[in-house]
Amino acid sequence: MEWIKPGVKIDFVGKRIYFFLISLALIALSILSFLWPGPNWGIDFKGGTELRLRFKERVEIGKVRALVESLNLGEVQIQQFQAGLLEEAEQGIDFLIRVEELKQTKEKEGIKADKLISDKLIESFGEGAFTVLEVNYVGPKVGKELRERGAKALLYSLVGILFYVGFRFEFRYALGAVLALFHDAIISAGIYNLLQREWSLAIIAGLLTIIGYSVNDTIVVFDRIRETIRRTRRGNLRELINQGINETLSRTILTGLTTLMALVFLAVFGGGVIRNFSILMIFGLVIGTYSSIYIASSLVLLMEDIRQRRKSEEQKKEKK
Amino acid sequence: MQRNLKIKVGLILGLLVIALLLIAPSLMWDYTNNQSRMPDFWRQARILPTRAVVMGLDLQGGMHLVVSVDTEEAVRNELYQIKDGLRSVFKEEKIKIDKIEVLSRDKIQVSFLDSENLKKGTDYIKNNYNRVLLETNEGSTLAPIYVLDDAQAEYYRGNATRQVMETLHSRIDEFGVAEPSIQRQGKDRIVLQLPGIKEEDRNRVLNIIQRTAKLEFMLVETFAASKEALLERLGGSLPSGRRLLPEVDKDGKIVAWYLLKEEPKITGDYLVDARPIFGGGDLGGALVSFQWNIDGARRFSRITGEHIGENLAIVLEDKVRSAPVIKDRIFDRGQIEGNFTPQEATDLAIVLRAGALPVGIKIEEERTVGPTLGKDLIERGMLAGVLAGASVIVFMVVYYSFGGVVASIALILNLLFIFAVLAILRATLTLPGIAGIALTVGMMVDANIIIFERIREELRIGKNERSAIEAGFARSLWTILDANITTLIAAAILFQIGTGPIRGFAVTLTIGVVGTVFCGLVVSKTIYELWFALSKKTRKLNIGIKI
Repeated sequence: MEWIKPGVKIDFVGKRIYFFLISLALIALSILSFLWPGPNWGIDFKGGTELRLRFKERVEIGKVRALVESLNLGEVQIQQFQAGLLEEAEQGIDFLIRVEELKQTKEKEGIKADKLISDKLIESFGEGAFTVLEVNYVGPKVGKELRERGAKALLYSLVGILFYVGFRFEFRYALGAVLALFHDAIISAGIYNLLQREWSLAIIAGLLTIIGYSVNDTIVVFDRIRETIRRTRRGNLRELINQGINETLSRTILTGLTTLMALVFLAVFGGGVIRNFSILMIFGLVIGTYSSIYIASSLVLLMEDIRQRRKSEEQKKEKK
Repeated sequence: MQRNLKIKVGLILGLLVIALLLIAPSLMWDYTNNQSRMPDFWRQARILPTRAVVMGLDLQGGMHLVVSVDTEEAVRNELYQIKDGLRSVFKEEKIKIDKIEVLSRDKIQVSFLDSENLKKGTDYIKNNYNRVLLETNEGSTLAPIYVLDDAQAEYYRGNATRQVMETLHSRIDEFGVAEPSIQRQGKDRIVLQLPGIKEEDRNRVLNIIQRTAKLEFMLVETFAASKEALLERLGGSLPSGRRLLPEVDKDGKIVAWYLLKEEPKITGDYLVDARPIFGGGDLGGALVSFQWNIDGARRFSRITGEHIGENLAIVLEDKVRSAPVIKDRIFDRGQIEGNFTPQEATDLAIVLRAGALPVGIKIEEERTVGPTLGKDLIERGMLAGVLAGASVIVFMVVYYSFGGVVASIALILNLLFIFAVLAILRATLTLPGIAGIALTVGMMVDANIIIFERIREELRIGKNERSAIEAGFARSLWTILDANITTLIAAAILFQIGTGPIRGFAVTLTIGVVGTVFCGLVVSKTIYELWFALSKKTRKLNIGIKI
């Protein structure tokens, strides 16, 4: 089977100015998405208590909400889910209850929000009506640290990749690759913000994975461009880059599609953090593939153009 | 067959056998009861591996706690001790002072009476505290300010964390948790991993970990129903060497206030044992009986002997539990009554046996997963993983026919190797770890696609199959290496910076990337070579295109 026949010749870099504009617009929108609607920080980053309960019998979410709100714990979020894939759980219903951090005074007395909530619910639904599936508590100090650590992880990996690619290729390739990676990470984060899905530690891991995947993609293309340059030793960079992208196109598309297929299964069937992780990855994959084809190499070309222009300007000056 | 090829085939088969041996215990592991189901002969043969891959707390269920130690309290406590020490040596040395004060978290000010005493006092401090207190140029002429040496303060902080860790260790051991892990993280953090905590035990564990369990016995001077009444009787201020503490009932309600003498006192540090006794207390309910060590017994019998007829307050965590009259001299035993429930008495005995925390701690992070959710997630993770893997294999076989079969064999081997390495490293498999494995499948597929596309290109320019495959692999080598090394960089950084489950992701990704390079480049190529070696004439190789 062969979907993309040999000898395709698409001028990928020719219209680079349009793709740059599109990407810049997307980046701008993504940055804006951090202001509006803003990221939906989970308790990993915001701090607070999260309680996941499974009721054996179906229970109205309104009733649970009213009971929890009567405790005056500050802002309360409640979501309901179909209880697990397990057969015995089919009748039941899961609730995810999230509250902000308790006021300092209560905290000092060692009172935990989750204890207050489950006591209240036991009071009205009776002992044994539900089981506690999960309790997460993140203190404000830890939340701040985790945010900083996440940002650091992203920054360090970009720098690490910059050095490695710079060492293996030329510096302008490294810069092109890292700019493209930054582009992928920020746009994926932007889309994730627009979907208002929750940010957790796993999402930072997801962004790092997108970076890893996309650099993989970009390097395959760069590698081919370099090889073509070595082999032919003539022609202009623009044509060579186009040739490189075209020759690897089949691989780029196929890898993208198979990975996409795997991710869709993970997003549909994987529970918990795996689902959000996979959703983020799906967008990251699409954007990463796009940037490997349209952005990364075009950036190298852009840098070459700038260099050429400077050179000719200098030559003009010398002539004068 | 070439010798070279024989070695390669032998090596791969050998690795495969080792991998299967390493994985077998995990396949046969009974994760609900956490025990092996391997047959006896396997367990008796000493060299065979018996440990299963460790499931992370997010899959297996359990508690992950991060507590911070109030190390500044340790420094403050030491500073107050230094203050008391100085006060008494100055008295001995007849150095006259106006007062000594602890100013801030690390400063102490000594106000001397006159310049003569100032000289003697500063010389004394210089000679005896030269590594501990450093003179600053703050303060006035007669009242110099000293600052605690940084290295010394750092030692106190480290010591406090170490002591807290030991105490928590023995509390958890006394409570009884199978295979707990208690580790220090940074300067003042302790991470506790407690697998298999039941839902109903969670609050008990939190309580046992957090309470200071500071136990003191102090003589009662007087008491009153309210703090105000007591203070009024004292003329509005607290005399020195006295403490004012509330008495609480079972529900934590304050019932009285006591004025207690700080000296003589005896603390829980002298306990050797504490046991709950159910029923039989004067107040009904359970009580805790304890036993002093030799030093403790000596002190306790002296105090009780000298103060017969007075009230001795039992103070637990700065609250008076009871204050019975001393009827007779007591030697090495005693009991704490408080109308406890059996569980409260059991837990109190546990924390008293394990000892008090030297400083306060605070829970910074808790992640508790019940066993039901873990099972749920494993099931979903498995289903998603199997479907993802199967769809990838089907696609590869359809698109690259024989090539796809080879790639699938290499892919399955890679997965086996990942689990084997997890078992050998005793690394933990977390939920994000499963995602890492899924991603490895993607990387592996990519490596194969790169190679196949290359082989196809070589075939198109007219090379024969054998040399097309040689060239395909050779030309893909650096592309695949570069792509995987960059992923490795991201994984390494994630491992350094990430915590808990995220680290699991970095671990499986790292193992997977190394496996991808090995299986993608070495294993698949060997299979092709084997194919050519086994077929007498050049058999037609089908990788999905017609030339």
